Parts: sequence; structure tokens; C-alpha cells
Amino acid sequence: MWAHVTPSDTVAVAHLVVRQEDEDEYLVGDPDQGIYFSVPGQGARLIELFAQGHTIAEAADILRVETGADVDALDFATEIAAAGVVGVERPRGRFWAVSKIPARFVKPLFGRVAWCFYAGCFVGAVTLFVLEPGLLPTYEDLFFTPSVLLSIMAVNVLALSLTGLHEVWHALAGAALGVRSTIRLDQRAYFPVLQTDLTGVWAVPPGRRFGPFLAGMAIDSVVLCAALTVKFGWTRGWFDVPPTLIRILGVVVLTLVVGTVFQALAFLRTDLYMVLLTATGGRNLHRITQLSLKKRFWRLTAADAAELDNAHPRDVSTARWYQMLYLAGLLWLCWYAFHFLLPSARIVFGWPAAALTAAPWGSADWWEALALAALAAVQLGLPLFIIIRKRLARR
Amino acid sequence: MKARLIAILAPVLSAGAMAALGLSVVVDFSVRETATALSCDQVPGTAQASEGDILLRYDAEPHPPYRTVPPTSGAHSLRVLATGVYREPLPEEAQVQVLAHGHVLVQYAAGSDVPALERIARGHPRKVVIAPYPVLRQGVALTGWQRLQLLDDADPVAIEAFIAAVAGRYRHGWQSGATDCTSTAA
Repeated sequence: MWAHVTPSDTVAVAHLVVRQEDEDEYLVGDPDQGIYFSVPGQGARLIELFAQGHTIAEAADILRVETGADVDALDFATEIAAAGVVGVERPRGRFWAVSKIPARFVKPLFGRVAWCFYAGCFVGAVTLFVLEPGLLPTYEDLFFTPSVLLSIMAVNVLALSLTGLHEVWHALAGAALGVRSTIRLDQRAYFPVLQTDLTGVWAVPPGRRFGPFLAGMAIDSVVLCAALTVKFGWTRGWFDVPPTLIRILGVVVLTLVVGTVFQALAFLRTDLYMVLLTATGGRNLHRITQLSLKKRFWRLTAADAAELDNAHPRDVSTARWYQMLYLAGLLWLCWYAFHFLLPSARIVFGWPAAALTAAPWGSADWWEALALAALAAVQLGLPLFIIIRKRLARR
Repeated sequence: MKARLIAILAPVLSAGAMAALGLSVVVDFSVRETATALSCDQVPGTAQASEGDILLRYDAEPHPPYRTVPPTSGAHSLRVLATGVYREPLPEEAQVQVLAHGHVLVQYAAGSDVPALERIARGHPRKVVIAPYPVLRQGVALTGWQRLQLLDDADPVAIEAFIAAVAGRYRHGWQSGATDCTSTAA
């Protein structure tokens, strides 16, 4: 396959180990195959750019801007492909357009001033909740109009838009570092989630990875603080806005608060988990924690035991305390399911069921109940659909 | 240094969030256990006889007529309504649902000082629903579950007192030792 390498190809280099040997000499190796060779600094930089998801042509352009010299990236990629160290892939337009915005345009959004602003918004939101506890969301906020169907549909659109903005900010923060990303639908426990795949960010130094991981929560804080400021000012009578807008902002606050609490649950491999992993210098904390718990409460297979033996020392040491958080999280999930999801499911399904059986067939109440039942089925069935799709894809 | 700080903050935030969620449940239960409701003679308005706490299976389902204007208990819609300001009249079945959730309804006749009434309601974002009520010929009607007070005009002191005393007394059941006060009603 290496003979057909073209400038628009990407190069799979995630498995390579790169270590600086001298001022302008780097050792590149594939530990699985036992193949090692040395490259100059520009070669190491090219591997870094490939790891961030850039095509061969894009990597060459970036290096040309950085060094002012033309670099034959195609020749370099062809050589390492010929050595059997890497594979090349035809591009399938898989990167998200947002993540392809040139770094110079988005860097100001993730500079020191911007991060101070994001932190200020977070503190501001917490302060407003303390000053006016009546702003804390409740489930009643979901029903901002007397029409339940309209409320539920609007809430879904709003939640999707806010999630989209959260993911766009992840992608933009990645783009600010020159890292491309993809977006996909996934599930965590019984929650469906949109997720930006920032795999390329592992190619940048650890200290610079926090920005892309925290970017989603940063923009959430800005929107939350803005919504709360409007609600707070309106509550105090400082200005007038349409009351429907205030109730819609209530939905925004509820969605963002739930989202932020969800992000804080690191055991679900949320943004905070990635921050934790980076900060502790681990590799696969989630898996090692699972294995550690399995060892403690059950028994390991031979493959599990080998995986645990070969685990990165940082993962092993972090898992010692992280497994308590993981267990607490699992217990909380059970509690949440028992106290919120089951009662909600009883209402969401019980209400349409009662109306469908009792209301005159074809009446407005009957049609509304049917539409609500369909919506509820989609919402509850989505995580199940994602799990089945993932299982089928693995086969 | 920065990485070390975040390494400490990340688990603390995560554990803190989960602890806060659990704590809020404990606090909620303990507040309900320890709070004591006002005695009947301290609650403004008039106690009304119970017409039941009956859920309608659909909005147009027939039910006995309400015995008070506006209604204070009885058959109600399943539709939940967020607290706040509404500029359209609410169906009576929805009004009773609002009361069943422990909120106070402030409803006004045409010609009332609407901005003044809405200003009061805005100060209680979790307790009050305010809306016009064309059935009312004049003044303001304050309702809670099995509680009614009619005012000739937008009297802020009376409205604030009603909200403070009545909101949360009933939430699909009497809370913190409150009763329906019908045996002591004047």
C-alpha cells in the first residue's frame, strides 16, 4: 500500500514512540515490531503533525510556515511506510469542518485573557445561585409552555444546540493547537452523548492538553452565567423582557447545570476524566480501575491479570484512590436511576398511556399523547440503539 | 505546578459534585422533617373544603364542577407548568395542578395594575404563578391548595403575606405538619 502514498493521505503514527536523543536527533520506534530509526527534528515534528490528524500535504505546509524551508513530507511518509512502520489512509472527509479552522483565527478564544473570562463566568454563575437560590433549576422548568408537546420538543432542540456548542468549543480549542477532531454519537452508562474525538491532542505536550478538554465546560459557563444574569436582573426588577424568554432561559439553566454535573462525574469518562488522566500522567485509568475493582471483588482472567501487570505505573497508583470515586459513581448512578429515571419513565410513559386509552380516539389529547409516547420511546431507546450499533461494529 | 493543581482539583470537583448531589437529598429530607408549618390562624385567606386531589387522564375528561372561583382543589391536569409570569389565562384544570405542586397562584381581573402584580411575582421565582383570570370581575384572587383570598386591588403587603404563608404548605399532600384548616375555618 505504501507505494501509492499521496499528499492527501493521512499517516497512522499513534503507535510510534518518539524520544529526543540529541539536539537535532530523535529516535522513532515501533516497540511491537522492534523497529527503531533516527530522524532529525523536522522528521519528529512531521510525526507529531501526522499524529494530530493532518494530511501529508497539510503537515508539509505547516512545517514550511514554521521553519521557512520546504520539506519533502511525501518522501518522508513514503520512506517510513516502506519500512513497514506506519500505514497510510485515504482521507474520507472524516474531520469536522470546525476543527479545520486555522489556528491563528481561534487562538484568541483560548488565550490567558479568555480563560480568565471563562473562570470568571463560572464563579459568577455560582455567585448568582448563592444570591438567589430561586434560580436553581427544577424539573418543572422543562415545561415552559402549557403545551407539553411543544415544551418537550423545544427542550430537545435547545439541549441539542447547547451540546453542539459545547462540542464546537472542544473542536475549536483543538484547532487552536492545530489538532483535528471528529464528532460522533456515543453513550455513557444510560446517557446518550455527543462526543468530539480529540485523539490528536495526545500528540501535544501534556501541559497544553487541558485547554481542549476544558473548553466545553468553559463555554457552558459563559452561557450559564449570561442566562442567570438576565434571570437575576429580571427577578430584581432591573429590566423587562418577555416572560416566555425568562422561562426558556430556565430550560437553558437546567440543561447546563445537569450537563455540568454530568461532566463532573469523571468515572463516566467525561471531560473531567480526560483532565484527570492528563494531570496524573496515566494512559488508561478507566480500564485499570475496572480491572483493579474486578481483582478486589471478583477474579481476573489470565488476560486481565496480564493487562494489569503491564499497566502503566501511574495508572496503577492513581487507580488506588480513583476506584473509590468510581464505586461511588456507580452507586450514584443506581440511586439516580431509582429516584429520577424510574419515576420519570412512569410519568413519561404513564401519562400518554392513560390518555391513549381514555381520550376519544383521534382527539387532540389522543394525538398529543401518541406524539409524546413516540418522543419518549426515541429518548429512552437511543442509548440502547447506540450500544447495539457499537456491538455490531465490533464484530 | 499547573498540572499538579489540576490533578488535585479534578478529583476534588468530581467527588464534590457527587457528594453535593447526595447531600442535597439528605438536606431536602431533613428540612422537610424539621420545618414546622404555620398554625391555621396565622395563614391568611380562607380555608376551603377539599374537592379531592384527582388526576385527569386527559385534559378534556369530564369532572365535577369546581365549588370555588378560582378553584382551590379537585380534578387537575397532568400538565406540569413552570412557575413564573403568564400573560394568557390558564385553564382551571392547570390552575389546580399548579396548586397541587405547592405554588401560589396570583390571578387578576382586567384593569388591574399588572406591572405592579408581576413585579411582586418576579421576586418569588420558585413559588408563584401569575396570570390574568377573565372570570374575575375585579381585583385579585390569591389561591393556594384549599386556600383562597380575594383582594379589591393589588395590595402588595397582603400578597407578600399570602405567598410567604401558603407556598409549600401542600405538595400532593400536606407538608411539615400543615393541615387543611377546614375545621377551624371562619
